[in-house]
Amino acid sequence: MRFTRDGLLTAILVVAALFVGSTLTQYLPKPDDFRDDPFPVAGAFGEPVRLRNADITVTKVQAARTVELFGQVAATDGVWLVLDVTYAPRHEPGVLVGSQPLLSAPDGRRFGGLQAITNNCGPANPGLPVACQLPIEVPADALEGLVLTIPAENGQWENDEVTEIDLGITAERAAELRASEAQVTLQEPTVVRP
Amino acid sequence: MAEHTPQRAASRLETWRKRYALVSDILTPQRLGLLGAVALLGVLGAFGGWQAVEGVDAPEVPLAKVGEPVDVAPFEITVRRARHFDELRPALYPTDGYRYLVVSLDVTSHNKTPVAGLDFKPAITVDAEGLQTVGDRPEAPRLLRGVDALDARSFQPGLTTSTIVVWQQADSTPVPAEVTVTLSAQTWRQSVMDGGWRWSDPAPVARVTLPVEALEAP
Amino acid sequence: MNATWWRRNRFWLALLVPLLFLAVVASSFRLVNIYLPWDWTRPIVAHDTSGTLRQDFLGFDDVRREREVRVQVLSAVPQQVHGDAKAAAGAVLWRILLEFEAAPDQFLDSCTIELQDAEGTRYGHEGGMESVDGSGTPWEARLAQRCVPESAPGPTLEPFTGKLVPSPVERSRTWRLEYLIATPEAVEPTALRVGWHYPEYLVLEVP
Repeated sequence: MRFTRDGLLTAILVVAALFVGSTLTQYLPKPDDFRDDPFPVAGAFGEPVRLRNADITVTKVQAARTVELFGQVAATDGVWLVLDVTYAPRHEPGVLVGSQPLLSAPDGRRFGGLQAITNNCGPANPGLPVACQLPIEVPADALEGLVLTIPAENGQWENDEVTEIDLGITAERAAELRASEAQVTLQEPTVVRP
Repeated sequence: MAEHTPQRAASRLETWRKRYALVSDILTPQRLGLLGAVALLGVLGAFGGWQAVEGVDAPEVPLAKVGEPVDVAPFEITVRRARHFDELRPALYPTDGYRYLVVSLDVTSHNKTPVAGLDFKPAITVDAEGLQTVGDRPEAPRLLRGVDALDARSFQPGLTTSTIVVWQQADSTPVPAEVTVTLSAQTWRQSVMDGGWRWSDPAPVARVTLPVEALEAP
Repeated sequence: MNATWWRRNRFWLALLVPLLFLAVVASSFRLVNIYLPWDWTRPIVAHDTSGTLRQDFLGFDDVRREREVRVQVLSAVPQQVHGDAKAAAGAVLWRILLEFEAAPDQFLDSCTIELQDAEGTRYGHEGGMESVDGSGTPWEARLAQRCVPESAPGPTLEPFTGKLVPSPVERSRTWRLEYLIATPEAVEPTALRVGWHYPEYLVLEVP
């Protein structure tokens, strides 16, 4: 090996370029960071949110101390939020499974999943939407600013559409909901007019 | 400059080459390599490299008190009471040959998203004998909510719930005077098998010993 | 890039366009449509009210078998009430009579039957109907669809164990079954889809 001054300089420059390049790429966004991101579809309370395969509308939000379905009564150490939802598939039969919706709080917490009492929205055929009441148990301090996220396909939170429906719960509304002593008997899924 | 350097370097190399040539018929490069490896092994041995690895005694799982909140990732668990009974309708019906052994706890999930009841079960084990088994492993307990006796299917972030953990113990085993509940923390990691993320590796973090009480007459 | 360059590289330049095309095709969604067909992607259009489905499929016991069955739509009659089920407000129940013809050793137990309209919208057997006595979902909508007679279902495979359950009575070569599917009143079904395993399914005309 012949060590020339030029050769050494080239070597140093190459190493330096590699170092700078690799440091830079560490800070650049990578495809892996976004590969599994969902496609959020924003919507307002009371308005249908158009997902690729269905239209979902939240028509009512109420709070309860107990919820009842088929004779089973569920109580809570927090608050039962009961969401009136209409699920309208557009192209093929579908069902919104009750354990799918997740409520996102501003502090990053999410509530939902399997509940003590489950109610599904559907099954529904296109043109024959189903209205249902979905109960989700939340701690009393987490009511403000909740956003309802529902995936277009049950269980599919990556690379697919997810609703983002702000339930419009302000601080006052949260206090109102917290104070509710209601005992709600959940309605079974019913077919409604589109 | 260029003329001097190669000359000096050449002469040094020449010297070493001449010295090596004196022994190169016996100490061939291969043998030198072998000697080097043997020397390395010897040095490693001298530093204890070949001793049997001693098992490190698992550190004693610390004892916690009844009523004391314990950090059991991703939960915070406070053990309350242990009881035994044959039935507690409408949630628990009598089963032939078995009694119920239950431990009631306060559970708060500190995870950011809901944790399934299934993922809570590895966090709590009890040392009672005669528990029902599935094959050769103890059967997972049933989880009930203290507030309404329905199955605890998931734990919401930040919501403290009274949870009843129910095991079935063979009638033939005498009722234990006390039980030790072991609380194990879990880690949220990717599985090496399928790349899926789940709660795994339960590791004991605390033990609580408490008396087993009979159910008070209603 | 002078004339010599063009001449020297003419072969590869000519190949460039088809290669680019292949590169785009290679990155398209062939995985689901060709290699791992985990959806209804291959219709067998009969252009008639009857047709034959032929496919090979992997059963629960990981054995590859062939399936051949002929299905005919005998009738599809709209009505408001049938048995325990009634159409929801704004809907109509289609009472569909199908005739199946297959060798007795064919595995045909659970299938998916849907009505399709001219736009390709599909309607299944669970939605759009209510129980006549007001108790919610009628039985017809709760049960998974079966395409074999109850008393002589032919051979079946248990879902988790893959165990083969022989038929208690040998299934006859042909049999008829009735189905209920609810659609909105305004919909005119133009086709009936029958499928057992992804991706092949039969598309039959509705009489």
